[in-house]
Amino acid sequence: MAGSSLVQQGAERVWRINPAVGLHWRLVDDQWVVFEHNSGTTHQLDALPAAVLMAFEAGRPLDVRQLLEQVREDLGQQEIMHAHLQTVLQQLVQLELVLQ
Amino acid sequence: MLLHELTQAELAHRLRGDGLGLRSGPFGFRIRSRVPHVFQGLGLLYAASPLLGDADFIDFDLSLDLVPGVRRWLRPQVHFVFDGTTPFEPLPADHAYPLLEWSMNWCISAHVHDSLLLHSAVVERGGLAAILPAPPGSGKSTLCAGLIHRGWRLLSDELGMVSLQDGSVGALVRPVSLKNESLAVVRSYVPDAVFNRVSVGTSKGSVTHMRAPSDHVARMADPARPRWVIFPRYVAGSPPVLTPRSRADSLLELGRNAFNYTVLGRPGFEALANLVTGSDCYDFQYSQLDDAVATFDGLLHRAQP
Repeated sequence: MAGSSLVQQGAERVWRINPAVGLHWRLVDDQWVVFEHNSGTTHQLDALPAAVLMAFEAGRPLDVRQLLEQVREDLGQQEIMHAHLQTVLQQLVQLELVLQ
Repeated sequence: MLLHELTQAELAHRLRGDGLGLRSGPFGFRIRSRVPHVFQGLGLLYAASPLLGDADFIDFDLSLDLVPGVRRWLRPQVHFVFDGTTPFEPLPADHAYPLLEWSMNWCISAHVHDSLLLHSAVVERGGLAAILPAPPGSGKSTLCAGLIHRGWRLLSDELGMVSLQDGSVGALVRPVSLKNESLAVVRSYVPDAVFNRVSVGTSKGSVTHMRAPSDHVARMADPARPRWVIFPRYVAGSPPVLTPRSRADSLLELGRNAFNYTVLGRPGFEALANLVTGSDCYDFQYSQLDDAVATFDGLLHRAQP
């Protein structure tokens, strides 16, 4: 039930990539490393935050339900939880890579 | 022509006059100074270095001289002048030689942007380079000093210069900086090494510089291919412990230890990513130089067919 609540809350919110960022990706072993060329910062990302960022980078703004569907498909992992996704989104917002 | 082919009078004349043109890797320095410690240090430590000819390009034009005025007689100080500007506060005259070396490092790290410049030592053997990035006090230069007297070639003890074109690591082959406890360690490990006088009470403590082996200086045009990134740490009493570390994490740490990573932008990122993906990355804890040399030789042995 907690998951449904999160989906409904998330459905009201739309997330998108920060239009000010420019990202360059490299897969180093099993870790994604992304360089943001406007700030000169480099981030090391696990598979889920990388998939989230790539999903936004590829297209339109997404709500949490749409995003969850997208990353589950991209990663082939149906067990990704809403709560985990919300945490990842907050982390990406803190890094100023994603805007709400 | 090499510096040791100059007489002392000729060396002094150049330093006091139009400047001593000196090559370090791809860079040409012109140095002017009337300070005796600078004259003595250059004569001792750069004996095998090539001099620039009249037609050679000067990348960096610098001078170190006593600050004029009454202070010259009370507590004499030296200042570094670069292209007519004085980037740093003056230092006590006794610190003139370390100031010269630090100034030469600054010239490169602040102005060279056609290479990725890592704050690291680099040594080579068998054409393969080991990059040793580490903060001050980690034992990086001590380790470097030991390795280059046990079969490894010095590329640099302070600046890892990674080509943006082909990813190779260039050589500067300047004197190795040693400080505090490491002085006695390296003197004991390499009894026949040549050291400059010790400057005490600098911002880094007691410091001196060790002359690079002359056959290493002669190979300053030879780059090497990066093969290992090794983060050293001296820990008293520790056996040698070599621990693999994540390449992605190593990339970020190298970026934090680089002088111009953010200046270069994407080319710097790509160069760094190429470097780590082509290298084995380790943390290395050690206390004895013989152990460290054996560990590095073991890595080389495993890397070569």
